[in-house]
Amino acid sequence: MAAATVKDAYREALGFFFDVVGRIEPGQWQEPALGVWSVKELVGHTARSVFLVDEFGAQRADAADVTSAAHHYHVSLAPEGVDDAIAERGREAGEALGDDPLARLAEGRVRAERRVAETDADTIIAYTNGGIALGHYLETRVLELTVHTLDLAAALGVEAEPPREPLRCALHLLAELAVDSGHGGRFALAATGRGLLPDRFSVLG
Amino acid sequence: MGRQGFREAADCFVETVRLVPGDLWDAPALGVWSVRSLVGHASRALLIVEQFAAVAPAAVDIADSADYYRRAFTGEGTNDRIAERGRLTGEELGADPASAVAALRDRVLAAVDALPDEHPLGTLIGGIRLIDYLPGRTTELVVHTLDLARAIGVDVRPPRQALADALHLLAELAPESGHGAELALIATGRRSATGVFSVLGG
Repeated sequence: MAAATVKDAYREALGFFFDVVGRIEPGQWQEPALGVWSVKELVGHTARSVFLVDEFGAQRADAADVTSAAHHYHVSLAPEGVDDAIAERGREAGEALGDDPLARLAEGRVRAERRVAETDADTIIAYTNGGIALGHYLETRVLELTVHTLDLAAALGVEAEPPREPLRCALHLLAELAVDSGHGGRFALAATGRGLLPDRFSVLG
Repeated sequence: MGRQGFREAADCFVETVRLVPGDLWDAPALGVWSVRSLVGHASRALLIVEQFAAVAPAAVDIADSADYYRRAFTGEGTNDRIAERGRLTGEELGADPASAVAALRDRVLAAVDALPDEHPLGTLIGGIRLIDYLPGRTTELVVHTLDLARAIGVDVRPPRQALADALHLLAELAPESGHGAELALIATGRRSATGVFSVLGG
Protein backbone atom coordinates (compact mmCIF):
# COMPACT_ATOMS: atom_id res chain seq x y z
CA MET A 1 0.00 0.00 0.00
CA ALA A 2 1.06 3.58 -0.53
CA ALA A 3 2.75 5.08 2.54
CA ALA A 4 0.11 7.76 3.16
CA THR A 5 -2.70 5.28 2.61
CA VAL A 6 -1.58 2.74 5.18
CA LYS A 7 -1.13 5.42 7.84
CA ASP A 8 -4.63 6.74 7.11
CA ALA A 9 -6.00 3.20 7.19
CA TYR A 10 -4.36 2.62 10.58
CA ARG A 11 -5.78 5.85 12.04
CA GLU A 12 -9.23 5.00 10.75
CA ALA A 13 -8.95 1.45 12.10
CA LEU A 14 -8.12 2.93 15.50
CA GLY A 15 -11.20 5.12 15.22
CA PHE A 16 -13.33 2.07 14.43
CA PHE A 17 -11.94 0.13 17.42
CA PHE A 18 -12.44 3.03 19.83
CA ASP A 19 -15.95 3.64 18.58
CA VAL A 20 -16.97 0.07 19.46
CA VAL A 21 -14.99 0.06 22.73
CA GLY A 22 -16.96 3.17 23.68
CA ARG A 23 -20.15 1.15 23.44
CA ILE A 24 -19.14 -1.46 26.05
CA GLU A 25 -21.57 -1.29 28.96
CA PRO A 26 -19.98 -1.34 32.45
CA GLY A 27 -21.38 -4.81 33.13
CA GLN A 28 -20.07 -6.34 29.90
CA TRP A 29 -16.31 -6.42 30.46
CA GLN A 30 -16.30 -9.91 31.96
CA GLU A 31 -18.77 -11.38 29.46
CA PRO A 32 -17.50 -14.09 27.07
CA ALA A 33 -16.37 -12.65 23.73
CA LEU A 34 -14.19 -14.77 21.44
CA GLY A 35 -12.92 -18.27 22.11
CA VAL A 36 -11.44 -18.32 25.62
CA TRP A 37 -11.47 -14.52 25.89
CA SER A 38 -13.79 -12.25 27.82
CA VAL A 39 -14.67 -8.83 26.40
CA LYS A 40 -11.84 -7.32 28.43
CA GLU A 41 -9.34 -9.88 27.16
CA LEU A 42 -10.44 -9.43 23.55
CA VAL A 43 -10.07 -5.68 23.99
CA GLY A 44 -6.69 -6.30 25.59
CA HIS A 45 -5.52 -8.46 22.71
CA THR A 46 -6.77 -5.96 20.15
CA ALA A 47 -5.21 -3.06 22.04
CA ARG A 48 -1.80 -4.67 21.50
CA SER A 49 -2.17 -3.15 18.02
CA VAL A 50 -2.35 0.23 19.77
CA PHE A 51 0.34 -0.05 22.46
CA LEU A 52 2.86 -2.03 20.42
CA VAL A 53 2.81 0.43 17.53
CA ASP A 54 4.11 3.04 19.96
CA GLU A 55 6.59 0.68 21.60
CA PHE A 56 7.99 -0.98 18.46
CA GLY A 57 7.72 2.24 16.49
CA ALA A 58 10.40 3.75 18.75
CA GLN A 59 12.88 0.94 18.05
CA ARG A 60 15.12 0.65 14.98
CA ALA A 61 16.62 -2.29 13.07
CA ASP A 62 19.30 -2.27 10.38
CA ALA A 63 17.49 -4.53 7.93
CA ALA A 64 14.01 -5.87 7.30
CA ASP A 65 13.95 -9.55 8.28
CA VAL A 66 10.23 -9.54 7.59
CA THR A 67 9.60 -8.14 4.12
CA SER A 68 5.81 -7.87 3.86
CA ALA A 69 2.65 -7.91 5.95
CA ALA A 70 1.88 -11.45 4.74
CA HIS A 71 5.42 -12.49 5.69
CA HIS A 72 4.71 -11.26 9.24
CA TYR A 73 1.87 -13.75 9.57
CA HIS A 74 3.89 -16.62 8.14
CA VAL A 75 6.60 -15.99 10.73
CA SER A 76 4.32 -15.17 13.67
CA LEU A 77 1.95 -18.11 13.25
CA ALA A 78 4.63 -20.73 12.55
CA PRO A 79 5.70 -21.76 16.09
CA GLU A 80 4.19 -24.79 17.84
CA GLY A 81 1.56 -23.83 20.38
CA VAL A 82 1.19 -20.33 18.98
CA ASP A 83 -2.58 -20.29 19.55
CA ASP A 84 -2.19 -20.93 23.26
CA ALA A 85 0.53 -18.31 23.48
CA ILE A 86 -1.67 -15.73 21.76
CA ALA A 87 -4.59 -16.63 24.03
CA GLU A 88 -2.41 -16.20 27.12
CA ARG A 89 -0.93 -12.89 25.95
CA GLY A 90 -4.49 -11.68 25.33
CA ARG A 91 -5.43 -12.57 28.90
CA GLU A 92 -2.41 -10.73 30.22
CA ALA A 93 -3.16 -7.74 27.99
CA GLY A 94 -6.71 -7.66 29.34
CA GLU A 95 -5.38 -7.77 32.88
CA ALA A 96 -2.93 -4.96 32.13
CA LEU A 97 -5.79 -2.65 31.14
CA GLY A 98 -6.42 -2.32 34.88
CA ASP A 99 -9.41 -0.78 36.64
CA ASP A 100 -9.90 2.01 34.13
CA PRO A 101 -9.44 0.41 30.70
CA LEU A 102 -10.92 3.34 28.80
CA ALA A 103 -8.40 5.81 30.24
CA ARG A 104 -5.51 3.42 29.62
CA LEU A 105 -6.67 2.85 26.02
CA ALA A 106 -7.18 6.53 25.29
CA GLU A 107 -3.67 7.29 26.46
CA GLY A 108 -2.29 4.50 24.24
CA ARG A 109 -4.17 5.83 21.25
CA VAL A 110 -2.64 9.28 21.60
CA ARG A 111 0.86 7.78 21.79
CA ALA A 112 0.28 5.44 18.84
CA GLU A 113 -1.08 8.22 16.64
CA ARG A 114 1.81 10.48 17.53
CA ARG A 115 4.35 7.73 16.80
CA VAL A 116 2.77 6.99 13.41
CA ALA A 117 2.59 10.67 12.51
CA GLU A 118 6.27 11.27 13.19
CA THR A 119 7.67 8.05 11.65
CA ASP A 120 8.11 7.40 7.92
CA ALA A 121 6.32 4.29 6.67
CA ASP A 122 9.56 2.88 5.23
CA THR A 123 11.44 3.19 8.55
CA ILE A 124 12.72 -0.23 9.60
CA ILE A 125 11.51 -0.79 13.14
CA ALA A 126 12.65 -3.57 15.49
CA TYR A 127 9.93 -5.86 16.82
CA THR A 128 9.25 -9.44 17.93
CA ASN A 129 10.31 -11.02 14.63
CA GLY A 130 13.29 -8.76 13.88
CA GLY A 131 13.18 -5.79 11.52
CA ILE A 132 10.12 -4.74 9.51
CA ALA A 133 9.09 -1.58 7.67
CA LEU A 134 6.63 0.42 9.77
CA GLY A 135 4.20 0.48 6.83
CA HIS A 136 4.14 -3.33 6.60
CA TYR A 137 3.69 -3.60 10.36
CA LEU A 138 0.80 -1.14 10.22
CA GLU A 139 -0.89 -3.23 7.51
CA THR A 140 -0.94 -6.16 9.92
CA ARG A 141 -2.32 -3.91 12.68
CA VAL A 142 -5.10 -2.68 10.40
CA LEU A 143 -6.14 -6.30 9.80
CA GLU A 144 -6.02 -7.08 13.53
CA LEU A 145 -7.97 -3.97 14.53
CA THR A 146 -10.58 -4.43 11.80
CA VAL A 147 -11.35 -8.11 12.36
CA HIS A 148 -11.18 -8.01 16.17
CA THR A 149 -13.37 -4.92 16.30
CA LEU A 150 -15.92 -6.91 14.30
CA ASP A 151 -15.49 -9.72 16.84
CA LEU A 152 -16.02 -7.25 19.65
CA ALA A 153 -19.14 -5.81 18.05
CA ALA A 154 -20.52 -9.34 17.61
CA ALA A 155 -19.78 -10.13 21.27
CA LEU A 156 -21.52 -6.93 22.42
CA GLY A 157 -24.42 -7.46 20.04
CA VAL A 158 -24.00 -4.08 18.37
CA GLU A 159 -23.86 -3.17 14.69
CA ALA A 160 -20.54 -1.91 13.41
CA GLU A 161 -19.36 -1.33 9.85
CA PRO A 162 -15.63 -0.82 9.34
CA PRO A 163 -14.57 2.32 7.48
CA ARG A 164 -13.76 1.67 3.86
CA GLU A 165 -10.00 2.22 3.79
CA PRO A 166 -9.07 -0.11 6.67
CA LEU A 167 -11.48 -2.73 5.35
CA ARG A 168 -9.90 -2.50 1.91
CA CYS A 169 -6.42 -2.74 3.41
CA ALA A 170 -7.44 -5.76 5.52
CA LEU A 171 -9.05 -7.58 2.59
CA HIS A 172 -6.00 -7.11 0.38
CA LEU A 173 -3.86 -8.65 3.08
CA LEU A 174 -6.34 -11.50 3.52
CA ALA A 175 -6.28 -11.98 -0.27
CA GLU A 176 -2.50 -12.24 -0.16
CA LEU A 177 -2.67 -14.71 2.72
CA ALA A 178 -5.40 -16.68 0.97
CA VAL A 179 -3.10 -17.39 -1.98
CA ASP A 180 -0.47 -18.82 0.35
CA SER A 181 -2.96 -20.69 2.54
CA GLY A 182 -4.32 -22.97 -0.17
CA HIS A 183 -7.79 -21.57 0.50
CA GLY A 184 -7.58 -19.03 -2.31
CA GLY A 185 -10.14 -20.80 -4.45
CA ARG A 186 -12.60 -20.85 -1.55
CA PHE A 187 -11.97 -17.15 -0.92
CA ALA A 188 -12.74 -16.42 -4.57
CA LEU A 189 -15.90 -18.53 -4.50
CA ALA A 190 -17.02 -17.04 -1.17
CA ALA A 191 -16.46 -13.55 -2.53
CA THR A 192 -18.51 -14.22 -5.65
CA GLY A 193 -21.57 -15.80 -4.08
CA ARG A 194 -21.07 -19.38 -5.18
CA GLY A 195 -23.15 -20.92 -2.42
CA LEU A 196 -20.50 -21.75 0.15
CA LEU A 197 -22.42 -19.38 2.41
CA PRO A 198 -25.85 -19.43 3.96
CA ASP A 199 -26.67 -16.13 2.26
CA ARG A 200 -25.35 -15.73 -1.22
CA PHE A 201 -23.65 -12.52 -2.17
CA SER A 202 -21.22 -11.22 -4.76
CA VAL A 203 -18.65 -8.51 -4.44
CA LEU A 204 -18.93 -8.12 -8.22
CA GLY A 205 -22.35 -6.57 -7.91
CA MET B 1 -0.38 -7.99 -11.84
CA GLY B 2 -1.25 -8.21 -15.52
CA ARG B 3 0.25 -10.35 -18.23
CA GLN B 4 1.59 -13.24 -16.15
CA GLY B 5 -1.67 -13.72 -14.25
CA PHE B 6 -3.70 -13.58 -17.46
CA ARG B 7 -1.48 -16.18 -19.13
CA GLU B 8 -1.66 -18.51 -16.12
CA ALA B 9 -5.43 -18.12 -15.89
CA ALA B 10 -5.87 -18.83 -19.59
CA ASP B 11 -3.72 -21.97 -19.37
CA CYS B 12 -5.55 -23.22 -16.29
CA PHE B 13 -8.90 -22.67 -17.99
CA VAL B 14 -7.84 -24.56 -21.12
CA GLU B 15 -6.44 -27.45 -19.06
CA THR B 16 -9.66 -27.69 -17.05
CA VAL B 17 -11.81 -27.68 -20.19
CA ARG B 18 -9.75 -30.67 -21.39
CA LEU B 19 -10.98 -32.57 -18.32
CA VAL B 20 -14.67 -32.25 -19.26
CA PRO B 21 -15.99 -35.78 -19.99
CA GLY B 22 -17.82 -36.11 -23.34
CA ASP B 23 -21.18 -36.79 -21.71
CA LEU B 24 -21.15 -33.76 -19.43
CA TRP B 25 -21.29 -30.91 -21.94
CA ASP B 26 -25.04 -30.50 -21.54
CA ALA B 27 -25.08 -31.06 -17.77
CA PRO B 28 -26.10 -28.11 -15.53
CA ALA B 29 -23.12 -26.06 -14.38
CA LEU B 30 -23.88 -22.58 -13.04
CA GLY B 31 -27.22 -20.78 -12.85
CA VAL B 32 -28.97 -21.18 -16.20
CA TRP B 33 -25.81 -22.44 -17.89
CA SER B 34 -24.86 -25.92 -18.99
CA VAL B 35 -21.18 -26.89 -18.90
CA ARG B 36 -20.93 -25.86 -22.55
CA SER B 37 -22.52 -22.44 -21.92
CA LEU B 38 -20.25 -21.86 -18.89
CA VAL B 39 -17.20 -22.69 -20.98
CA GLY B 40 -18.59 -20.40 -23.67
CA HIS B 41 -19.00 -17.55 -21.21
CA ALA B 42 -15.55 -18.07 -19.70
CA SER B 43 -13.95 -18.20 -23.14
CA ARG B 44 -15.30 -14.73 -23.77
CA ALA B 45 -12.75 -13.45 -21.25
CA LEU B 46 -10.18 -14.38 -23.92
CA LEU B 47 -12.23 -13.54 -26.97
CA ILE B 48 -13.19 -10.01 -26.05
CA VAL B 49 -9.61 -8.96 -25.32
CA GLU B 50 -8.91 -9.68 -28.97
CA GLN B 51 -12.14 -8.02 -30.13
CA PHE B 52 -11.80 -4.88 -28.03
CA ALA B 53 -8.12 -4.51 -28.93
CA ALA B 54 -9.23 -3.97 -32.51
CA VAL B 55 -11.56 -1.11 -31.51
CA ALA B 56 -10.04 2.33 -30.96
CA PRO B 57 -11.89 4.07 -28.10
CA ALA B 58 -12.70 7.78 -28.21
CA ALA B 59 -10.93 8.16 -24.87
CA VAL B 60 -9.33 6.01 -22.18
CA ASP B 61 -11.81 6.81 -19.42
CA ILE B 62 -11.77 3.58 -17.35
CA ALA B 63 -9.01 3.67 -14.74
CA ASP B 64 -8.52 -0.01 -13.96
CA SER B 65 -10.29 -3.38 -13.67
CA ALA B 66 -12.10 -2.40 -10.46
CA ASP B 67 -13.42 0.71 -12.18
CA TYR B 68 -14.48 -1.47 -15.12
CA TYR B 69 -16.53 -3.77 -12.86
CA ARG B 70 -18.17 -0.84 -11.11
CA ARG B 71 -19.45 0.41 -14.44
CA ALA B 72 -20.13 -2.92 -16.17
CA PHE B 73 -22.65 -4.36 -13.73
CA THR B 74 -25.17 -1.59 -14.01
CA GLY B 75 -28.20 -1.27 -16.23
CA GLU B 76 -31.28 -3.40 -16.53
CA GLY B 77 -31.10 -6.77 -18.22
CA THR B 78 -27.31 -6.99 -17.87
CA ASN B 79 -27.46 -10.48 -16.38
CA ASP B 80 -29.82 -11.78 -19.05
CA ARG B 81 -27.59 -10.44 -21.80
CA ILE B 82 -24.51 -12.01 -20.22
CA ALA B 83 -26.36 -15.32 -19.88
CA GLU B 84 -27.48 -15.32 -23.49
CA ARG B 85 -24.08 -14.34 -24.89
CA GLY B 86 -22.48 -17.16 -22.89
CA ARG B 87 -24.92 -19.66 -24.29
CA LEU B 88 -24.35 -18.51 -27.88
CA THR B 89 -20.58 -18.52 -27.50
CA GLY B 90 -20.82 -22.05 -26.11
CA GLU B 91 -22.71 -23.16 -29.22
CA GLU B 92 -20.06 -21.60 -31.44
CA LEU B 93 -17.33 -23.68 -29.79
CA GLY B 94 -18.61 -26.55 -31.97
CA ALA B 95 -18.04 -30.28 -31.78
CA ASP B 96 -14.65 -30.08 -30.04
CA PRO B 97 -14.85 -27.25 -27.48
CA ALA B 98 -11.56 -28.23 -25.80
CA SER B 99 -9.59 -27.77 -29.02
CA ALA B 100 -11.54 -24.61 -29.84
CA VAL B 101 -10.66 -22.91 -26.52
CA ALA B 102 -7.03 -24.06 -26.79
CA ALA B 103 -6.76 -22.48 -30.24
CA LEU B 104 -8.47 -19.34 -28.94
CA ARG B 105 -6.02 -19.17 -26.02
CA ASP B 106 -3.01 -19.50 -28.38
CA ARG B 107 -4.32 -16.80 -30.69
CA VAL B 108 -5.28 -14.31 -27.96
CA LEU B 109 -2.08 -14.73 -25.92
CA ALA B 110 -0.03 -14.17 -29.08
CA ALA B 111 -2.05 -11.04 -29.82
CA VAL B 112 -1.63 -9.75 -26.26
CA ASP B 113 2.13 -10.43 -26.39
CA ALA B 114 2.36 -8.28 -29.50
CA LEU B 115 0.60 -5.28 -27.91
CA PRO B 116 2.16 -2.69 -25.58
CA ASP B 117 0.76 -2.21 -22.06
CA GLU B 118 -0.70 1.14 -23.09
CA HIS B 119 -2.70 -0.22 -26.03
CA PRO B 120 -6.21 1.24 -25.66
CA LEU B 121 -9.13 -1.18 -25.78
CA GLY B 122 -12.55 -0.03 -26.91
CA THR B 123 -14.88 -1.98 -24.61
CA LEU B 124 -18.66 -1.70 -24.73
CA ILE B 125 -18.59 0.73 -21.81
CA GLY B 126 -15.53 2.82 -22.67
CA GLY B 127 -11.80 2.85 -23.22
CA ILE B 128 -9.21 1.15 -20.99
CA ARG B 129 -5.51 0.33 -21.35
CA LEU B 130 -4.68 -3.32 -22.04
CA ILE B 131 -2.63 -3.72 -18.87
CA ASP B 132 -5.49 -2.30 -16.77
CA TYR B 133 -8.04 -4.57 -18.41
CA LEU B 134 -6.24 -7.90 -18.01
CA PRO B 135 -6.74 -8.40 -14.22
CA GLY B 136 -10.50 -8.35 -14.73
CA ARG B 137 -10.25 -11.00 -17.43
CA THR B 138 -7.93 -13.03 -15.20
CA THR B 139 -10.57 -12.87 -12.45
CA GLU B 140 -13.28 -14.07 -14.85
CA LEU B 141 -11.12 -16.96 -15.98
CA VAL B 142 -10.12 -17.97 -12.43
CA VAL B 143 -13.62 -17.85 -10.94
CA HIS B 144 -15.28 -19.58 -13.88
CA THR B 145 -12.56 -22.23 -14.04
CA LEU B 146 -13.38 -22.94 -10.38
CA ASP B 147 -17.08 -23.07 -11.31
CA LEU B 148 -16.28 -25.48 -14.13
CA ALA B 149 -14.13 -27.66 -11.88
CA ARG B 150 -17.00 -27.92 -9.40
CA ALA B 151 -19.51 -28.68 -12.14
CA ILE B 152 -17.49 -31.60 -13.48
CA GLY B 153 -16.27 -32.75 -10.06
CA VAL B 154 -12.53 -32.20 -10.37
CA ASP B 155 -10.14 -30.39 -8.05
CA VAL B 156 -8.35 -27.46 -9.65
CA ARG B 157 -5.87 -25.13 -7.97
CA PRO B 158 -5.50 -21.90 -9.92
CA PRO B 159 -1.86 -20.89 -10.49
CA ARG B 160 -0.39 -18.48 -7.99
CA GLN B 161 -0.21 -15.19 -9.89
CA ALA B 162 -3.60 -15.68 -11.52
CA LEU B 163 -5.16 -16.39 -8.14
CA ALA B 164 -3.40 -13.44 -6.51
CA ASP B 165 -4.58 -11.04 -9.23
CA ALA B 166 -8.15 -12.31 -8.91
CA LEU B 167 -8.26 -12.15 -5.11
CA HIS B 168 -6.80 -8.66 -4.99
CA LEU B 169 -9.40 -7.42 -7.43
CA LEU B 170 -12.17 -9.04 -5.36
CA ALA B 171 -10.65 -7.47 -2.22
CA GLU B 172 -10.69 -4.09 -3.94
CA LEU B 173 -14.35 -4.44 -4.90
CA ALA B 174 -15.58 -5.96 -1.64
CA PRO B 175 -15.80 -2.86 0.62
CA GLU B 176 -18.13 -0.97 -1.70
CA SER B 177 -20.30 -4.08 -2.19
CA GLY B 178 -21.35 -3.88 1.46
CA HIS B 179 -20.08 -7.44 1.98
CA GLY B 180 -16.48 -6.60 2.80
CA ALA B 181 -16.79 -7.19 6.54
CA GLU B 182 -18.58 -10.48 5.91
CA LEU B 183 -15.82 -11.59 3.54
CA ALA B 184 -13.20 -10.67 6.13
CA LEU B 185 -15.06 -12.76 8.70
CA ILE B 186 -15.35 -15.70 6.30
CA ALA B 187 -11.71 -15.43 5.33
CA THR B 188 -10.68 -15.57 8.97
CA GLY B 189 -12.82 -18.57 9.85
CA ARG B 190 -15.57 -16.72 11.69
CA ARG B 191 -18.28 -17.75 9.28
CA SER B 192 -18.88 -20.37 6.64
CA ALA B 193 -21.70 -22.58 5.55
CA THR B 194 -19.58 -25.57 4.68
CA GLY B 195 -17.00 -25.68 7.44
CA VAL B 196 -14.81 -23.10 9.02
CA PHE B 197 -11.64 -22.17 7.20
CA SER B 198 -9.09 -19.47 7.79
CA VAL B 199 -6.61 -17.95 5.40
CA LEU B 200 -4.45 -17.34 8.46
CA GLY B 201 -3.98 -21.10 8.77
CA GLY B 202 -5.81 -23.88 10.52
